[in-house]
Amino acid sequence: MGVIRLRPILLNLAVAAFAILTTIPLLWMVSVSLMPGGEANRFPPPFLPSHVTFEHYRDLLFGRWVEGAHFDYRIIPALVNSLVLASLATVISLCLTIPAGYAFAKLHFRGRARALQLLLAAAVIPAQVAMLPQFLLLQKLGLVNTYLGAMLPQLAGIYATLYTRQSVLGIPDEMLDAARIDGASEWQIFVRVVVPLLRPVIVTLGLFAFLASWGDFLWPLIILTDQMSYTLPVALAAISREHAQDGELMMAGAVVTTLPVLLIFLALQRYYISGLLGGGVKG
Amino acid sequence: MHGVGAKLVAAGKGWQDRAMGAADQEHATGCTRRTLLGGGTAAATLAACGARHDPARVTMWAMSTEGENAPLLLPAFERTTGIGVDLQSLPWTAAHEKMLTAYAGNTLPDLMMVSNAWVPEFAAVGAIVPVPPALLGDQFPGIAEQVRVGQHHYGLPWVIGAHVQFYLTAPVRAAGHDRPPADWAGWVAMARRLKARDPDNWPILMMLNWPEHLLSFAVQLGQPLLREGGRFGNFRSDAFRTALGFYKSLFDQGLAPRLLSTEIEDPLTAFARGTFTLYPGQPYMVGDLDRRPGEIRRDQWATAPMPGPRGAPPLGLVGGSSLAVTRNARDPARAWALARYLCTPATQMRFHAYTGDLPSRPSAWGPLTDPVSQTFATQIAHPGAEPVVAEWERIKTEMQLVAEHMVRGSFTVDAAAAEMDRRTDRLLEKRRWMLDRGTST
Amino acid sequence: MTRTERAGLVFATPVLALTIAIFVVPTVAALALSVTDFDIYALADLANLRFIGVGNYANLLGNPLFWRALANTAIFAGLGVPAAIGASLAAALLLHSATVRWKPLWRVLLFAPYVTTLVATAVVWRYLLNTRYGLINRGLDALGIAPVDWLGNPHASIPAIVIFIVWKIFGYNMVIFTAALASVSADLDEAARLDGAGRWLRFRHVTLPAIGPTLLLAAILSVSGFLQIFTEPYVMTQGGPAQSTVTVLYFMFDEGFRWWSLGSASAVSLVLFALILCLTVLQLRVGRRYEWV
Repeated sequence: MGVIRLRPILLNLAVAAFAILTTIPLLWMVSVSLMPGGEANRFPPPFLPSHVTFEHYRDLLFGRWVEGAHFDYRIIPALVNSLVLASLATVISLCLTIPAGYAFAKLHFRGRARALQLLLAAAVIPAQVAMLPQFLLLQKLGLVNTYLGAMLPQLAGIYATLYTRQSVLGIPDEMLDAARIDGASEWQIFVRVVVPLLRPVIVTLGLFAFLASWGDFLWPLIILTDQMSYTLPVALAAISREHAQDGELMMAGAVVTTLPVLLIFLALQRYYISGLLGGGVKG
Repeated sequence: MHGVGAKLVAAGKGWQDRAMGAADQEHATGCTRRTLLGGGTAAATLAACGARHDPARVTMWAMSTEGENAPLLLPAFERTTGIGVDLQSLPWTAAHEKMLTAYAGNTLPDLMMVSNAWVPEFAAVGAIVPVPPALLGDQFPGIAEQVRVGQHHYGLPWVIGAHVQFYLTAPVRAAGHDRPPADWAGWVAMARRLKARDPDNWPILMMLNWPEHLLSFAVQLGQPLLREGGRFGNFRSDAFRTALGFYKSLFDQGLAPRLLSTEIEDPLTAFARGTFTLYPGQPYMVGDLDRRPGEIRRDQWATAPMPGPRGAPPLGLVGGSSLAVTRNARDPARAWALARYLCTPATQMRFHAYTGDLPSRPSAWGPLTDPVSQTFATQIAHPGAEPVVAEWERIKTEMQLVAEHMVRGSFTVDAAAAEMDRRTDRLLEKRRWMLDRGTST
Repeated sequence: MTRTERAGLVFATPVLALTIAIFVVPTVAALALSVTDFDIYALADLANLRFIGVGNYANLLGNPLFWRALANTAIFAGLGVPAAIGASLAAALLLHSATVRWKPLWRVLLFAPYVTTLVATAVVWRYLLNTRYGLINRGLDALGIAPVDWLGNPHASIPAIVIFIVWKIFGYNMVIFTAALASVSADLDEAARLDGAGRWLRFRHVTLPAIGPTLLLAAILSVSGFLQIFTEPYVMTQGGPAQSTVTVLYFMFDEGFRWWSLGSASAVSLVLFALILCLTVLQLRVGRRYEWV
């Protein structure tokens, strides 16, 4: 018979077209970052570089020496700041929210229900309402322009706590009681029984925390006043105000800012997607 | 640090063991309470770190062109005095807010470059300190007035400039003039001729989000922009409305495009290509143009004072940037040493060679006899008066926002002037209250 | 106190303490700030502070830029939420179709924009939307459409940014909807098909009710997200042209961190809070009517 079904072909083409259109801006970003200077401002705009050059990455990352003076966009310090800040924020917030989530699920203490309501209520507050007083508070504490100041709003981790609680609720009480009967302390139960079971949750939450910290813009823009403390997004935004005419340089900056998280995502997609879908603890 | 490392290693081992199906939970979770506590404290301590500045070095902030070229001046200073300098460059559009934020957060640098328009504001809130009188000699009188608040001067003038027009010589000559006419009517007529010859391009480039263009017309007429000692707006005066009407007519006649600075990434390339013939601007553009010999040569452009209502020499928009030591300065003496060095005539002349910026010291002007510098000199000799109030930066911004709306058709000239006054009066309300209380100047 | 109680308190207290210190106290402080005229003068000397009651709120109501910011934000949400949810749903439906191959690859590609850093992609799109040199206009040119002055025309600026935002975020809900679609009862769908219901009817009466709750949650989160747009106008247009992309949050940032009128800015932030709360409650009400909650 050989009837060619049209619909599947069309659907596949549609998805492919959709996906390619979606990826074009990112491909163009990489392509322009490799173009020689000034090429992107030609009409009609080119799609591929005439010849590949890494000069913008070199200028961006390593600066230039002119007449004994060093000109530096300070991207490498920004990269280090982003890495350190995101890592610290992730580790600290995990250490705070995982135990808390467990406590809210399995450890009954007086006022627990009330405390949970407080968390839920606080979760509704948009971050910006608290930002101005937070700044004044951190100024009094001398934490303006510090790593701690930059990560503090993220550390409270209300959603992470609630998410952990949801996951922990799936752990059977008998498992915990059995460990208690065996004579384990609460801490040991947490560390030896609960945490291993929560491993996928921990990876997912850690991933979310890292990505959120890396991409955070408004708060670091406010709290980091010194160019040496800037994170990558803040540094990139500052450069884009001054060097708008250097399209190739800006694309190189965009690639440097985006590439690390893109790679991390590709490596840990499974956890990220499962985290989006609500996760949970299996068995 | 050891705690964090141990914790991470232990966690890593834990995953490894589980993957191999090891049942030894003891091994997998080496994070005892103590390790966790130690790690946590170490992490928190690290987190409290900010950017570490060597206290012996002077921190300095400068903007845009000056910020990017000042590093060329520093090696000599560091060699002769042994004082290291950490320079940061800020974009102009974000500088004012970054400085105020740093003031609010107590993280100001030792020395900073401030626009003269901001000096009253920063002085009013105590962000910057008075200049030692010994450093204050050899200034242009108009400039020195801009940085004086009460009895003291709060900034040491560093670079000065004036608002003049840069023009392409060839099209202007083709339109029948050696240089642009000095009166408004003649200037507009020439622009119309330019437009007729080249309808696809624009004679004049004036960014809709820069207040300087409107202000340069406004100060020419000699009437103050605020009245009653800076208590109320004076935008409804005849003088200002005349200037406003003139400004609007340039856009309405199609002589200038309705563009914001964000929409035109490279205005100098456009100027070089002839897209615009008249480009009012500041001295730093001289340096920028000189850096593109491939696109435009020195003999292809020239400068002239802005046209006046009835001819030359009109009052002009004159200003500049000064160096100020902040209240957070750890060692003011070193900071002033750097400021003094940057303002010596020799250093200012070197800076002029790099950037096109003009020296603030009259004694440095000897060698500057070329026509371009002389144009600026003429304008600087006739400064128009700008208000010296703390809110001026914000008032200028609001004024230009209303002007942009007017140019796009949302207001008539009179309605725009009334709206500017309304917003200005509201912004000045606190100042009025403080003046009445006697706590401000 | 039993052992579990003690452990529970120790485990939970840090998060609670941080929440109170970082969110609850500052929110109350914001309320306090909003009834004063705290500004740069007050920062210098607290004696310059005045209590002005509802003065800030009254000034906001009389400030045309505030209304403009509200209108812009409403347009952003009004255009953006349907566009974003529509795009996500379309992508999810495509991916859900049994006849599509290489799904994991397409899913990663379609999701990639969501993971990229917002500031970086905003910079990239600023160049893409350039009137003369941007790829978007070049693409339109290939289709025979005249170039659009995306970021220079006050009427095109919001659609331009909405296109960017939809590109950036549609992957998120696409994944959520894909999972929701997978949970739609295949039997019900098959029964409807046997009864002769066309594709559209099946979608309306079988699929849509099943994914209703997911749609509602996505809508609530989307609306909340669109009401808090800041980075895109900051990086791409600085609020222009003609303040057509000033959003409520951008306005708050200007008031608070550019001009340091903290009293006024706090008032704006509380208004924003109230707005988000009202809209969320409204959407929940609507959802309850359709029994999606």
